[in-house]
Amino acid sequence: MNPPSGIERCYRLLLRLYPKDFLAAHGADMLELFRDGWRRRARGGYRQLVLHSVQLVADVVHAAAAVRFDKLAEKKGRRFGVQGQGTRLPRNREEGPLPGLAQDLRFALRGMRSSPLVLICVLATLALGVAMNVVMLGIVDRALVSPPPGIRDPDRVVQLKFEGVDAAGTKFSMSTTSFPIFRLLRTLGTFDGVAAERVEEMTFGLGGELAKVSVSAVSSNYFDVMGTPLERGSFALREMSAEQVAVISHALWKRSFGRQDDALHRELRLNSSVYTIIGVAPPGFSGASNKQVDVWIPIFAAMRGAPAGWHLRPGMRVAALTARLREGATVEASAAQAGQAIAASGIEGPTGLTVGLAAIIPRPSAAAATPAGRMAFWLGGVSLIVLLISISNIVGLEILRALRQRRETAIKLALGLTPARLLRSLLVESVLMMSVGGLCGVLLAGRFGQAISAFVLPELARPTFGSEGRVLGLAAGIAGLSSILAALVRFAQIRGFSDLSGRRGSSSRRFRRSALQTSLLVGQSALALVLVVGCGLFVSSLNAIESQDLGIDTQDVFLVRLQSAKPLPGTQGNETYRGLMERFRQLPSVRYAAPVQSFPFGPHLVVFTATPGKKAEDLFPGQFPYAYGATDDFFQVLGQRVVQGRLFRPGEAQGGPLVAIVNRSLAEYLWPGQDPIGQCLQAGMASGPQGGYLPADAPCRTVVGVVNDTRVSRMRVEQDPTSYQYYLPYEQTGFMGQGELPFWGVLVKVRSDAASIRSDLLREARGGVQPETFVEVQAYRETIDPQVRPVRLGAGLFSAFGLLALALAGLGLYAALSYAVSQRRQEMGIRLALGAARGDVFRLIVGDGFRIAAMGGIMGCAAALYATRWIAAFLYATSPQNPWILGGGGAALFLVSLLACALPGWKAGRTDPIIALRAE
Amino acid sequence: MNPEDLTPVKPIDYLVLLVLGRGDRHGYGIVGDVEAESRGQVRLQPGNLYRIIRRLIRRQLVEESDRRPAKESDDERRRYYRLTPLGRQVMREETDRMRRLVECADRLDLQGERP
Repeated sequence: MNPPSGIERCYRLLLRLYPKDFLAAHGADMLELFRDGWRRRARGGYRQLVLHSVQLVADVVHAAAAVRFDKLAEKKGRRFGVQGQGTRLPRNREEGPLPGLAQDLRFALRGMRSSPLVLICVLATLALGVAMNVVMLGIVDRALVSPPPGIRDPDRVVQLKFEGVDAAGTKFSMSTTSFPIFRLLRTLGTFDGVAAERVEEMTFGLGGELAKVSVSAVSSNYFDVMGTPLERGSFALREMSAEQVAVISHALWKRSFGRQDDALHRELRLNSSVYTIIGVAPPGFSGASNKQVDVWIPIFAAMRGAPAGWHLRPGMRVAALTARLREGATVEASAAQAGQAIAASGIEGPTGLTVGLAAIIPRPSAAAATPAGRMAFWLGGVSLIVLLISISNIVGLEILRALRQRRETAIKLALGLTPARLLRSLLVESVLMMSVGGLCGVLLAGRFGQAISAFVLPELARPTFGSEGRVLGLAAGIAGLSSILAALVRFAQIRGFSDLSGRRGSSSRRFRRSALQTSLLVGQSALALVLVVGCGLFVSSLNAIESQDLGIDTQDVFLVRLQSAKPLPGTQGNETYRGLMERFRQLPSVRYAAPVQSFPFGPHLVVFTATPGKKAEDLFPGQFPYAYGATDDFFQVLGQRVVQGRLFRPGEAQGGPLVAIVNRSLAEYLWPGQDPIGQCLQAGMASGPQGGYLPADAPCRTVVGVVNDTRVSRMRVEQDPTSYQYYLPYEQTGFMGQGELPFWGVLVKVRSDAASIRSDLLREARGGVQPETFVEVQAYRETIDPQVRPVRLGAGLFSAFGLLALALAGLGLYAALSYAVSQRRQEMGIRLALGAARGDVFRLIVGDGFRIAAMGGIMGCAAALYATRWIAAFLYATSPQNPWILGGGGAALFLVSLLACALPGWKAGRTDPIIALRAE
Repeated sequence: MNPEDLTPVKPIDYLVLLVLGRGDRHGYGIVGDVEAESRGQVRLQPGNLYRIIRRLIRRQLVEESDRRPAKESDDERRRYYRLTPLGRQVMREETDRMRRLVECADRLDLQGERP
């Protein structure tokens, strides 16, 4: 592919940077070489071409400057009789490639020293703007744009999805498949390679050092298919090798082994099995997804505990498949071939499965629809608004500086300074300033980027900040844009005043703020208001979602879980949990402890439920009620309230009368207008050829009490409409014919003044279990927290950005008004001399500021009304058009404007007419 | 001119000299060979390449070639370059210089590092 004519024209233009003689000698060849290079890179696709173009520009600019410099050095060498290739800097300023540059730099430094406050404001504003955008770019890039790092030719790597139709004619889709299918596809030849992978969480280490890691069990050809050479060691294994070996991620190598070379051949304990480390993955590599993976082990080693012959069973879906397309093969053709092969093999029955291939390079449109994508999209938008405010603030501050220096500049112009030279010295000053600001921003991003990313999107593999070319490019771009804008604006302002040299102190001059400055101030206020309204909406949502009545008291409740590589046989697991419960109850800070099998916001039990004479399916056509097995203390731990009747008595266990407690909704639904106490409830499940059913002989469970409703699993009430729930004594839940159900964990309610309770529980639990068992102590709120996180995150980010934007807008307004007051001193003096009160002058100035803020406020309100519809999906019980929040945002803007105007207004009122007039 | 006065040469100049030592090349050929010989470490862009060529021509190490390869593989528009006899001497001198340095390093390594 030849370069497009527009690009070639640009390149020709660039070449004019070279001296004429050089161009005459080599221009045609360079153009030819440019075309050759373009054709070659065009094969690498769009990305390569963009990269190539940037390199070309840098190359020409650098080489042309160097050639010109060589020429100058030669000329100077000739003049002073110096032989050879002189490469020293020309001494005489006016002779260099940019005569007077040092002088410009000196002026720039002097100008910066003369107004340190403005300088600090500009630097801080730019640094914050750059840092925020660099971080957000990193996140957006990782979530929406970039392929996972460390994979060769990622455009050829695809993930396999399987779709089929079950016997009932329902379509289903899944991302995992059985090992026979994997083998079939691997030997098929449609792909360059197919790798199997299953990601699971395992414990890492022993005893008190136990941690959880994400482990990917992979087929032996995994790293070959990814095209990823290991940083250290190799993963060369036989196809079905079950050797206990592991490749660790670069991050884990750094974190747990201090990047030591002897990490290889060291031992690693995963789920109480010992693995030998044989390799270290390259930095950033985390497989084909964006999820963090810490360790890779052979899939046959990971499946040691699985039933024998697992790899021969067609129905056992054990792994997800990742494939590398053959060079030049299309996704559609490869998918069709794979689907046909599966159908022909008969492994999946006569209909087979349809195979879909999903590229691992995120398509921005598709990736933006995922939660992480939506979040990244939002973050990008908000940080862009802050960037706009930052830049407009910088421009505003620069205008002030220009106005302050206009007399000095007018004199320079009158003395013969050319406009071009003026512009250049302004540019030098801006570039110097913005480079410092941009650098500060990149450093800030490098320092805090990881933490922000972990806070914002914890599930995303960590992007890197501050080291990648494109990040530095973005920072340089923002800084460069700001410098050019600032310099141009100052230049335009100064040029506008250039005639002043002849009109020194003209008293007939009226102060007028430039239209540009006014619109910048208005724009800043408007954008700040949009962010403040967003902040209000999210804070209100957070408040609504956190203060709602869930039916349970989650305060001071902890969940203790045990995770063991080898599940304890029979009822031993439950005995362990009961032992833990007893141990916890001995602790003085523990009020209640109850082992649980199902509980609100945790797993729940759904079985066939009915009353005598009714069919379960007719009674509950949609969702069956949720059932919970309650041990002693169950209701106390979660603070549930008895509405009617009583709770279970201790020991109301197996063998005793069958009893049940229902929630209020279920009582009202089953027995409207009747007393639920003493009624009969049937529950149970048996399976037959037609699926599950309620056995005809399911015994009556007598209702002994009614408790309040609780939320089942969702914080958002619209996703979790009032549900029917009932409770049975735990010992009476053996109705599935399996005996006692296994416990899931222990819920513990502690005293609210208990200190260091987590470590107490952890220590107590570790004392009661084997050392390789992983003990997890979690606040109950943490199980709910992921649902609240988007709202809390929105509230946090919008608050931070909103406050920042308000502060910036206030700063801009303050600076503009201060300047106006200093310019209108004479006018104020005359007004005061003619009898105006100080209050009148104060009102004059404050009114001026308010007009700007009011314009901004009106525009901001309109913009907020329009823009908030996009965040409506994240809000909870809050209308995006909530008038109170809009009003509150307006009030905040008003208050900040008042603060920003008050000091200049007060100063104006204090003007001494005599001094003001004498000064002129 | 004495070739020793012209050494040491910059590494990139040396690479271009080495590539031209194998035969006449046009710009694109030099870029390709330099990239291949340096195993992808050095990628020359047009601007820089012609700056280097100009420098080498001025030092009389390289000149434009009037000889052309066989018709079918030739491109009329391209200019070819070749080493001058001085260029070849400088290339050899630089190679010797580096070899001497490496020998020196080896010797020191033998005496200093190992027991």
